[in-house]
Amino acid sequence: MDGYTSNTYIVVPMTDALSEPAYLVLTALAGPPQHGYAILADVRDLSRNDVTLHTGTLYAILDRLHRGGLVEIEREEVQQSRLRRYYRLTGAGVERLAAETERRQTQAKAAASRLRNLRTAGGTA
Amino acid sequence: MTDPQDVQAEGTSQTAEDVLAARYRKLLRWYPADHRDHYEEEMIGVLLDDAAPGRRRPTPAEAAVLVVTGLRTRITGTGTALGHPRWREGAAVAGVLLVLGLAVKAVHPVAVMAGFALHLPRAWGAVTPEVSLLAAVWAVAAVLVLTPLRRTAAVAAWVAAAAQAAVLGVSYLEDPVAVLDGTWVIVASFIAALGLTVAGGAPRLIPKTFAIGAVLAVIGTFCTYALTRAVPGESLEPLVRAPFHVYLIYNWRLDNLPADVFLAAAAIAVLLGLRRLAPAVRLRLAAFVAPPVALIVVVHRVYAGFAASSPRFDPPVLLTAGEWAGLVLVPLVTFLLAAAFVHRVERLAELVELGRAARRR
Repeated sequence: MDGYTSNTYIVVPMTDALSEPAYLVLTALAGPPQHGYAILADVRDLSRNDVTLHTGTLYAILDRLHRGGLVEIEREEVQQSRLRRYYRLTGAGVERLAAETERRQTQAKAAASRLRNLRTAGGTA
Repeated sequence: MTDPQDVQAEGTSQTAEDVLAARYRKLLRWYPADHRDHYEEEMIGVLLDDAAPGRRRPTPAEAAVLVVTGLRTRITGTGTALGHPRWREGAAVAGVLLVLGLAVKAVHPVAVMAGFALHLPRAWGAVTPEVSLLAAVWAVAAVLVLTPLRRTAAVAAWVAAAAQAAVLGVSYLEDPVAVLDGTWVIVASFIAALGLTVAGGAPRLIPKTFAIGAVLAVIGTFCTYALTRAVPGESLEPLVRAPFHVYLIYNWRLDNLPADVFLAAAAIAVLLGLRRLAPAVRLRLAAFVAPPVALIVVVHRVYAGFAASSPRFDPPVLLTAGEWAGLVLVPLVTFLLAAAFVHRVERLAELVELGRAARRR
């Protein structure tokens, strides 16, 4: 169906589903601004050590999110002669994270419902 | 085997961290220069934070990830830039503007004939069925691009582009020069259809004045011929090349000021619309319009010899594979160069802005 009601027509024009690492990076930034190393650690915690990002992967994701207007640099600092950039979500990033979270919740609910039915059917069979 | 960097480190005051940083820096050379300009220092900081104290070498996993992501960034760098939402916005605007422009062009011969028909007792020319078909399909696409029916509009644009290519293509063996002259129209048609398709749900701030301009242009064309006080003469000359069977009568008087007013108003409406676009979208619109413009220039400059000589033979000489390759490559290369130019202009603006921000701090 055409029109603006479809999920395709959200304000942020990124129609592809977020990858799990990108989703976790956005989640990590849904709080105070964080620098790269802190994001790596946060992603590990958020995923309960299921996802460990390498620096190269993190910056590929950050670059994509930055270019997509979902994250922005809050400030830059030099600590112990190392450049640290603090990233935060943009308004579009918040909306994207909310939309993705809702999408995942809907899918999880559907999966849970099917599993319940399957178990019920298995129990009665 | 001892690494020269270790030997050098022993002879100097370099710490293990310096050696490790130098090795990371070497690995980051796999990334493109603009990525390094932006992220290198920051990535080295994070890599060093993540490394155990005293370590002098990147782990094999780190090295592999940096090489792979670096190469991937090199290969898909342009793709990533082209995937930027601003490109989708640009594609959306370019799609709409090109469809409207092509619709005006397709309806032009019909408007000409309708204007003539008002004051000529009998038809001095006729619009061929294929011209009517093109006018109809482009008009439908033009109406649809102004509605929220985006996918339908994109499909209509593809149908119109295919019809355009087919109508032009069938006359290739008899009139290859007409096809050559029309290649820019085909390229513009496919860019329009592709633009509407890749734009997807991108925000579209299409100025209403574009649509007003298109309508005024069609009315202006109609008025040009309807208001012309034609004085029938004996000679006829083709007004438009085949397959448009429209003829211009000698001795006509060009005293059609109202028509000029309409056309001038159409041009102003489009210019006002362009002014309302964000600079980033305007830049991208120019990149999308550049390929057909480049093709017009190249066809007139480089293919002029072919256009002059081909019709002198019977059957006419056809384009060679190399000449076809040129016609395909010119729009592609033009777009890539235009995209690279847009990228560079915006990167420069970003750097200037960063410099200003640093000075303010």
